Amino acid sequence: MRQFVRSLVLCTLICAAPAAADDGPTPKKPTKPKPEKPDDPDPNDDPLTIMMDFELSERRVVEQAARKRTTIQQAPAIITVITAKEIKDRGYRTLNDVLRTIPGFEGDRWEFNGWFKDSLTRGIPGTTLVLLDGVNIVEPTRNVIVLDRKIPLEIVKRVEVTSGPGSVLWGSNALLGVINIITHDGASKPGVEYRIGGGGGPGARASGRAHMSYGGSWLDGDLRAFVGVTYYNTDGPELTVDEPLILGPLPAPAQDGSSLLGHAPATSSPVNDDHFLNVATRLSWGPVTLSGFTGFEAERRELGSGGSVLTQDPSLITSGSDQLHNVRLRYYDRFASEDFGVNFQAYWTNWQLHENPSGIFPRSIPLETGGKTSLESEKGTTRTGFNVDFDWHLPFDNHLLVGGEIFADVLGDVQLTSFYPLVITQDECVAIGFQYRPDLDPERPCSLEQQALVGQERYVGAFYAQDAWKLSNRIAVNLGFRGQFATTYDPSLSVSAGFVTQLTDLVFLKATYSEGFRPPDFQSTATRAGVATGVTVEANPDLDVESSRAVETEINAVLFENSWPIRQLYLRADYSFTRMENVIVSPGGRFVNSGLRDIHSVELLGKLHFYGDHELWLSYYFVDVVDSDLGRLRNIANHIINAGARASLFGGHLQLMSVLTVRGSMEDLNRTQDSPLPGLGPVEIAGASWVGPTGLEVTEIPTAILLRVGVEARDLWNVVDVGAWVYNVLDVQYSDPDFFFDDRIMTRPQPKPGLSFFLQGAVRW
Amino acid sequence: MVDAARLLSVVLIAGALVAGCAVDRSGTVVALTLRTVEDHGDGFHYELFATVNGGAVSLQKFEFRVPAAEEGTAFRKEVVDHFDPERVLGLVDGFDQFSLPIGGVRFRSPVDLRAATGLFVTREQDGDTDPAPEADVIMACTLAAGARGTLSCVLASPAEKGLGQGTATLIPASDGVNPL
Repeated sequence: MRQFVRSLVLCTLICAAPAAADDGPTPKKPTKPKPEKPDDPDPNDDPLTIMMDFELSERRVVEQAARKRTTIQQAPAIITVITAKEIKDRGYRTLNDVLRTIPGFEGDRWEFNGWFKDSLTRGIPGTTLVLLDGVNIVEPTRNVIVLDRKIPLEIVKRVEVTSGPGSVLWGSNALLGVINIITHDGASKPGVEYRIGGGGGPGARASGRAHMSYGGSWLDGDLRAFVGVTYYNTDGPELTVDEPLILGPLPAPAQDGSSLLGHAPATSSPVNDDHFLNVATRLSWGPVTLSGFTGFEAERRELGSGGSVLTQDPSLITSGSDQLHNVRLRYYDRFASEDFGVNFQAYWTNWQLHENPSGIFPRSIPLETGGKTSLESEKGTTRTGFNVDFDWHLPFDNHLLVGGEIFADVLGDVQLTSFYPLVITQDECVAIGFQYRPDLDPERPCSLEQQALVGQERYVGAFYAQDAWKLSNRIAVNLGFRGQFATTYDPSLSVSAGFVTQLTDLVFLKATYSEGFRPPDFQSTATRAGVATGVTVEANPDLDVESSRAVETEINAVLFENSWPIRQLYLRADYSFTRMENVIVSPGGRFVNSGLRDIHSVELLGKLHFYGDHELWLSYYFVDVVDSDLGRLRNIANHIINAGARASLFGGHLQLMSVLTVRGSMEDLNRTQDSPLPGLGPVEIAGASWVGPTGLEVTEIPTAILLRVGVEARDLWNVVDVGAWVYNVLDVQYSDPDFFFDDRIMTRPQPKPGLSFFLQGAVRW
Repeated sequence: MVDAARLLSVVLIAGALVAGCAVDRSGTVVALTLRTVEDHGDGFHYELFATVNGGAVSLQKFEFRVPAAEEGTAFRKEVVDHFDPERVLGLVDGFDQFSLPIGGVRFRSPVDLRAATGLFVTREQDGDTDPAPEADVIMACTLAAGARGTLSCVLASPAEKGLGQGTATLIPASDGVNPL
């Protein structure tokens, strides 16, 4: 198989060589002038023929939806673009913050008491493909990418978000959405920037942040370079857990069982530093770009994944390190009067996961030294591959896209070390099959090292084609398909179709059908059966690929353009119905394909821009999900409203900004101590009680109103910015239900951070 | 052409809306634990019934299966759908590293069980098409209002049927979309 893949890679490279060797011109920016007013028609400004018009405002131009430049209004998908300016204007701190304000997403949701920070897409976690400059960075071991501080927003030029499946163009993981993070190059962020800040408050104690970037271009812009370095440090938030977990089975996908819950609430005291260090680089010469991203992070979590408060014992506090390293080489050029384009991208991505120690339970009567494990992988998981895309303007107003990709995923062995939670002698330790290793932990010298995940490799190849056909000046249709083949899962065929019509000069209507898929992750196929230390998970190598199908409609309009005092009003309304099939779940700790999930989503977005650079925006999002096994999902917010305002005063030197999020109520299944069911534990403990797997209650989580406000002085002496943001100004004590639908050891909804503030200054030249 | 496009758009939107309305929103989530329940034997399976308004309503037919990799080495058994053995509902008779019982069974029934007063498990013959429960009841319990909108009970076997025991909780369907 390896030989075959090598041959295929070599063959493809040779085939692509003539194009790559062509010293054709670098991408040129068309200079077609944009008319000042909509009623001043430009004969060339047919909205369906300006797909290469680089002079449109950034806000309306997207690259992702069709793997080519088009506009938000015309792209055959539901598109939202967040620019670097909007990131700055809205006080976003992480990509999850960004997603929280996009209709169709419920961003910044926590799972396992903060161990995972994800964004739900149309109510479902982990269903979005995340691209870094077009390269998939979703970790294949667990099919997740934690969108916290991992990717600093200062290096982001633009985030393009597609709502809905997108596997025809983008392949794996694009079940319900695609997020393309486009980073800066030397031309988009020129000069030097130093940024430093600090903050505090119960929501983020003792925060500090420093960022430096440099961007430059030479040789008439042919040579461009960018480097950005960011460091963030915080003690973390204070979090209070009601009825903390003392002992119980591990979270899903482990098997269910009895839990020992403490009766009194407990608050974690943030005493440990979290560190994030990221470096992003990009070097471009003509059509060739070499980019790199590397991150080092260490998060010290005072809460165990199930709600144990571990601060009483520093040796139990979890140290999580979840790192991403990526190198990309891209060649992009156009030929034949720009009618023919070539995009070649080769990449190497490595994900590292270290949990050492992975504290689980505090010390207690049943656990004298507390529950502690460590999870280590020397090599992590690596993906190496390339993709080639061609686009061609054909006769009769056809625009054909064809391409393919080949990559290899390699999972390194993952070792799980479990430390025996009772004080025993060396002889007793050996007798139970563990090893006496005081060198690992003198206080817990009896431990057992096991192979939790067995190393695996899989090779994947795919090809796709999509044609966009302009039927008339006001109607365009497109049709696409993709075939993907892999050595470890069944072939997958996806199709898509789109229809875009211009109803009036300013109003567009879209109707699309799209499909997505996600292959089983390594966790579900490679976990070693019979691990005897609590992680009782069974792999299933016969899992089918998860899939999604969606019908979406959208109507959008750009109104009142250049009608003083309004510069532009953008409105969008869309409805989608999505059906997910073969969703992978783990009842009883064994991974299996489950039934259907039907998703209804209604999304509204309005952006109103005024002369003077003032802005108002509003979004509303409704989602309803019904699972054939679990019924209506009640642990998602069915309604979410976001609203923002920005006033630009003194010629833009003073900015006043606010963002309001209203997240609707939710319900969560949790353990209850009020259950009349008998306890199942062998040891009675004062102040705690045992609760069986059916000791359940429905917890109501009220509506959360989250407000952030900011003020910034910009361009002082043309080089200095000074600003301050206050997050969760109302200090609302709110919670998240668990989004893995795991009611087993989550005793209560997971607490979220309260008020925090951050001050920062920047110098650039 | 533009009119045709508009008409097509309306048809597509209407089609999407109609397709989306065909979704089952009712039902009840049933959570069970079962322990030391005797094997149903070849040619038989178990069926869980609820007593609703004095009548018996079938909730799920299930059977036990020992994972092939663990035959003869473990007590635990998978609980699988009688009609679809690939559909695993949960696990019974497992123990973790602290010798604590692990396992549980969960599934959704399309029936609204807010008026249910009891649950019972019968042993049924494979191929039996009679919807009425067999008289061979191996476990039963009387439901009581549990915590925050749930119904719960402790399942026990009649004295002559062995030592089987378990717990059950019914989580009724949500009464609608969560409000803003």
